[in-house]
Amino acid sequence: MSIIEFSGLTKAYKDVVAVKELTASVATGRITGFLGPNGAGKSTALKCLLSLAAPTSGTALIRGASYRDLLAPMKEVGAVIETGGFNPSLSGLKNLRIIAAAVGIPDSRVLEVLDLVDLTDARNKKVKQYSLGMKQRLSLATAILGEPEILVLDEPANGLDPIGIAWLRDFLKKLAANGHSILISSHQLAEMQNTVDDVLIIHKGSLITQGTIANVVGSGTLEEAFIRLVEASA
Amino acid sequence: MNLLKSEFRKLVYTRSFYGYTGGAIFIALLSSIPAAFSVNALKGKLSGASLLDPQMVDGIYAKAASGYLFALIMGIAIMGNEFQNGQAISTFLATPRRINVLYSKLAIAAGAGICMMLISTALGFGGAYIGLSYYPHAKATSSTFLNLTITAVVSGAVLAIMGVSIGALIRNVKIAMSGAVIWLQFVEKLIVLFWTTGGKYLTSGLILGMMDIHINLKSAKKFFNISTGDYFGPGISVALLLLYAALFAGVGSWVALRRDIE
Repeated sequence: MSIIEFSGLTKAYKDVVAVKELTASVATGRITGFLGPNGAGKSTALKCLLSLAAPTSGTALIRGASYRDLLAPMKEVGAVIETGGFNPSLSGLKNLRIIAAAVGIPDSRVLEVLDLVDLTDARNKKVKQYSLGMKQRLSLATAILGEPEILVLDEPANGLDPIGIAWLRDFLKKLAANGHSILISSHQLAEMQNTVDDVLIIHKGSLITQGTIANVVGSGTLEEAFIRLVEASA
Repeated sequence: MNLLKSEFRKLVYTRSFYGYTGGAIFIALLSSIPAAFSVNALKGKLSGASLLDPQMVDGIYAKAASGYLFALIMGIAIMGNEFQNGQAISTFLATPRRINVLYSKLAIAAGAGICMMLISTALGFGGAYIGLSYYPHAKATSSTFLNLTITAVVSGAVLAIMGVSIGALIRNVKIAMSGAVIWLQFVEKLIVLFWTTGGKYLTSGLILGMMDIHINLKSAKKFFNISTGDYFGPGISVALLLLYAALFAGVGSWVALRRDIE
């Protein structure tokens, strides 16, 4: 059963078409890798999914509704969009307390999620003093603040060191084991092969394949399959 | 209520808010304390510059409400920083119905603008009082305090709302703030001073109108004549300022609702 559906999604900025007629779906209770080279349109498609950008045509729906129309968006869907979203002059704790207040989540939950992402000791540091890995973890803390069943993560492993990547992998596995549905975009293919159940590959804004990792990869690696598919679609 | 709480936290957690309030107080004191001495110094050079005239004394007290520029700057920061920092991403993820965010921002900005102006105007009033205490014969009209309070409340709310809308319209916060300072402190002031026919419709002219001051200063050089007689009265001034606030809020909301988050 699909929990996220892109249907003929197109997003154009002036004369640049970032996403073109994207039709794809994400299954419930699985980790789906949203893959593509830099500039393939992954972030744009996710921004349309999360109502941060308006589609030029087509739809991007979560449980049959647009993100904007969900009753309690952050309690249904947790999202990481790049490392932005925080006031760099405020501490991680204050940034999360601002977001929690907007959704009616108690401050005690803020401390819980900071602990879950190992930021308790750094909670009073200003975000501008955080390393990239710490910012990524703060973004993940925001995503799980509302205890959502669905997670949409845009390049959460970007800039992470090997320890950070291993931490992220374990973190996502734990969430998936608890029944979360996760859509994760990345261009780090080796890491994705160890993490995802399904893949959805786009290139130049268009879908080139979708399926389980086993079906898409076949006997080689995800990287080999990816290069083969991208070259075939060019 | 959740959104108001969130926007309130954004405001009180941000140090610059206290800096803007300090700036408003500084300007109010800087304008009001020396005003009485300035008028006294000009009494031989400008006819009408007399502390015996209650209208002139009102004009000195009106200087207490000079901090409104900082209400505008604060409004710009409230909205502009949201986009500049990328904080808009988390804000609109938490509340994808952007119009609700806009309403909350406008409400918090208006409240903060009123507080800022009441504090700075009260201190500026004290400054003017100290300056005027050197001239025991100087008496204000009975409506000064009421007019000043109305001016502080209305200008604080309206300028902050206009600031939020400017912050939504102009992506670069520094350009928006610099433009606002140049317009409000220099361009508008000159228009209000030398071209009352048009100046009375501008924010500074309307703020002056709310004070209901009737001053006529005449110098030997004709171009430096100052008359506030042509300005609108308090009622029309308040109504026009509220109309401007509504127009700015409408345009700002329209832009913010349609903007893609980068």
